[in-house]
Amino acid sequence: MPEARGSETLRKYEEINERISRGEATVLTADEFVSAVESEGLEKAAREVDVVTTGTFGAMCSSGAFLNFGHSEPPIKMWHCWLNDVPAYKGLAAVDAYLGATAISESKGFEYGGGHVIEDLVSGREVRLRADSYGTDCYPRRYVETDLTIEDLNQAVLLNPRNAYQRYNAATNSTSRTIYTYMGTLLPNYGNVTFSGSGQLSPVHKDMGFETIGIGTRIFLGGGAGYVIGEGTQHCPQQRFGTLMVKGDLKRMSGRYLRGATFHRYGPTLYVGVGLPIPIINENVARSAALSDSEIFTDLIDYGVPSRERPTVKRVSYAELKSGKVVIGEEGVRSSPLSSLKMAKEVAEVLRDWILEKRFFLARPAELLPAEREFKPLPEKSMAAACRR
Amino acid sequence: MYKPEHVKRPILAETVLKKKVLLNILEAKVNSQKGELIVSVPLEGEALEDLVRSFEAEGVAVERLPRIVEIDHERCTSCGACVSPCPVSALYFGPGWSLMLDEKRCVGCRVCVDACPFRAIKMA
Repeated sequence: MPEARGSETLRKYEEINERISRGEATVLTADEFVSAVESEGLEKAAREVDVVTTGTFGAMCSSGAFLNFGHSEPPIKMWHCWLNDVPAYKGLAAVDAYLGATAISESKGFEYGGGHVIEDLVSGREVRLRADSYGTDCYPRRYVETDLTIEDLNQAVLLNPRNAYQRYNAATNSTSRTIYTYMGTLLPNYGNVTFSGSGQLSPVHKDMGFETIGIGTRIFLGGGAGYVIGEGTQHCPQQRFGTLMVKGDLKRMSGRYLRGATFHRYGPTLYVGVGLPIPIINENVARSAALSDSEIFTDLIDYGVPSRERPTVKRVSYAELKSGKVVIGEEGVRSSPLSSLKMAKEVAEVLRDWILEKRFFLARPAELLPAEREFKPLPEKSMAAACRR
Repeated sequence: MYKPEHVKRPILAETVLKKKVLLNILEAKVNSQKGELIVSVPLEGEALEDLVRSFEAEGVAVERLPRIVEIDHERCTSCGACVSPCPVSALYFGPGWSLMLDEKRCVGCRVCVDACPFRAIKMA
C-alpha cells in the first residue's frame, strides 16, 4: 500500500527539532544534497540527512505589504494614499493599506514602484506618505502628508499571494524585433533565451509531491523568518507549476533579500528571496529533493507571439539553461537567468546555517497544500449576454 | 553618423573592402536624411586610427562610444538579465554565478543598461 502523503516514516518533525537543539542535525543545501546522493546513493543520503535547504531569488510580481500607519490628530479615514507617490490600495480600514509590488509611481513612472518602496522601507529609509479623504463625523481630516520609516508603522507585513513558482517557462523571441517583457530583453530571431527559477535549488521542486509544504511551514522570507499561509494563486502542481502564498514580518527582513526592480517597458516589481527547509521525512521527499538540474525540465516558450497560448519551442532542462547555451534548431543560443542563482545559493546557505546555529526550527504544517488544482483562463462572456443582465 | 549627402553611398562596404577589416554592425538606423551605425571594430592603435581617418575622409562623423560600462555592485544581484542580451558576450558569469564584465569586449551598445532590472549598469 502506498504511503499517505506526508508520512513521517524516516523521521518526525519532533525528532528533527530535537536533533537541531542538540546540535546534531545534518543539514545540507539542495546543491550539497544532490552531490551527496550522486556519491552515496539515495538510500544512504536519506538516512543521514535531516533537512535539505532550498533557495530562490527572483522577480515575484505578486508580492506586497500590509501597512498600518497609526492615527493622525485629528484622525483621517484615508481614501487614497501614496508612498513616495506610489499608490497603495485603500479599500480597507482608515489607516490600513496594501502596497503592491507592481504599483507604479505617479511621478517617476516605471522607474520606481511598490517594490522599490518596500525595499526603501525595509532598508530603514524615510518614505513620504500622502493621503486624502472626504471627511466624516468620526474622521474629519481630509489630507495628511508626512515622512515615515518602518519603525513608525504599527505593522508592516509582507504578504505575497504568489511566490516561488516551482519552475517557470523559459523565454525566446521568434519575431524580427527586440521585445521587452517580464522575461527581460528578448533579441529578435531567437537571439537569446532567458529563464527564471533556480532548478535544483528551487524550493517547491524539492518537495514536488507537497508532502511537507503546507499552511504553517516556517520559511526564509526576505532575510527573516516567514510562513507559508496557503497555496499561491495559479497553483497548479500537477503541471509542475506549484506556487506559495507567504507572509512574514517586514520589520525583521532585510533590503539584501527584497529588492525593487524594473523590467524595461514592462514596469516595476520586487525581487524576493525565498527559501524552504525540506525535512526528509520519507523516501519520496528524499527522491524529490535529490532531483538535479538535468532532471528538472521546463518549456521554452516563444514570447514573440502575444497570446495566452504561446507556442512551445522545445522542452529544456535547467542543466541546459544553466549551461549558457540552448540549442534551437541547429543553433546554440545564449541563455541566461533573470533570477539570481548567486543569491539563490546564498539563501539556501543562510537557511542551512540558521538551522545549524539553532536559530530556526521546523514547523509541521497544519494542512498540506493541494497536490492538484485547476488553472483556468478568464472566461470572457459576450457583450450581448452582459447587456441582458 | 552619415550626413544626407552620404546616405546613398555604400561607404561602409567600400571601407571594408579597402581596409580589409571585419566590422560588425551592432545597430543601424538609416533613412533618406541621415544614418547612424554602431559598429564593433576589431582593431587597436594605429590601425584603428587609420580606419577612423578613412571614414572621416569620406565625410562620416565618427564618435567613439565609451568602451566601458560601470556596474554598481551594491545594486547588482548577479541576476543575469543582462548576460544573454549582450551582443558581444562582454557580460558573463564567473565562479559562483557572479556577474563579470570583460571590458575589452564591450562596445558600449547600451543594451545591458536597459536590460538591468536594478539599474545597476551605467555608461562610464
